[in-house]
Amino acid sequence: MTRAYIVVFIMVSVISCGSICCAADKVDYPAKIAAAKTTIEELAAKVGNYPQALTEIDKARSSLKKAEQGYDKGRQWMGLGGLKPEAEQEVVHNLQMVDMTLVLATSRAAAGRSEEDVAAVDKQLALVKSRVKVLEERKQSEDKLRLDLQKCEAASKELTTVKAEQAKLATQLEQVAAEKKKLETQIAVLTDEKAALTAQVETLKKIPAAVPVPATAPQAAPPAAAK
Amino acid sequence: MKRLLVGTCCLLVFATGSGFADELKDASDKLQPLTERMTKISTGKAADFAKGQLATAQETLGAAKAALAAKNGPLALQKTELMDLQLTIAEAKTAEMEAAEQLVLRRAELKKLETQFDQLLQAGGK
Repeated sequence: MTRAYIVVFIMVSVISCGSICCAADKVDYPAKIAAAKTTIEELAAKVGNYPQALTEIDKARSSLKKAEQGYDKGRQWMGLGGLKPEAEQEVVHNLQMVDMTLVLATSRAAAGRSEEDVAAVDKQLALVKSRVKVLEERKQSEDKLRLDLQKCEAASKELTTVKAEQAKLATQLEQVAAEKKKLETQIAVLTDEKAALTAQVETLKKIPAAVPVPATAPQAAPPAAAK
Repeated sequence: MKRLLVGTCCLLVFATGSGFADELKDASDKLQPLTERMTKISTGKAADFAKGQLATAQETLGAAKAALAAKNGPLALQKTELMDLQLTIAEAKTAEMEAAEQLVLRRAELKKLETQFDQLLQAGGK
């Protein structure tokens, strides 16, 4: 009886050692599943509120659930003999899917963030564009005003010159008018003298020829004296 | 009793076999569109932006074909599923890079406009 117990004890020990050795060689899937779970939750916490990324996180959770279920279904001999090969393949695949889906979620979140930033920059662009437009319009009108001012200054200078010229001409005109008046007065005087002399000549022509000739010499003298 | 046992075994073998054949057919059906999708993606911007992802997808395609050749339906299906995801990642990476590129362009444009604005302000102040 005692020998039978010893045999049973040895057999159990051998089986346990074997299973422990096998287990040491196998991959620790529960730890991997737990690590994947932690990674998913960490990423979910920092991925932000991007719907596409959150959808991928949900898909990763679903793949993780499949991995867990595959692990639970595939365990042999109450966990002592590790996983069945097909179950292991499924667990490995689902864990890989979790990793890949997390990469996808990260990418979607980054794209979402970039799109948000683009939208914000676009708003700022529109604002700065409108301000630049206003300033450009102001600059154009300022340039136009400056040009007008230059034209006005040139016209003003010209006007001053013309006024000076006009004043000069007015003075000359006054001088000429005065000269003209003087000459007209002289003409009038001379005309009167001429009329008087003409009258004297007529009078002298009417005197008879008996009048001595020497009297003609003093007659020529008065016109010269009148001049 | 013996006949019943043999019949059940045959049924089980047949059912398993037909299940495997279904998975093989599914995987085979999915492979063609996936290959076409990969070719299409490779001709676009993804060739620059998601080179690594495309190379990985190419490897997975090889693995899926090998699994099909080995008549391993479940593995072939898993590989096609994985390849689908890898191609989606390649597309997403491309979209991400394009969005980042757009952002860089817009920021450069904004900077240029801000410089112009500052210059106009300074010119107006003089």
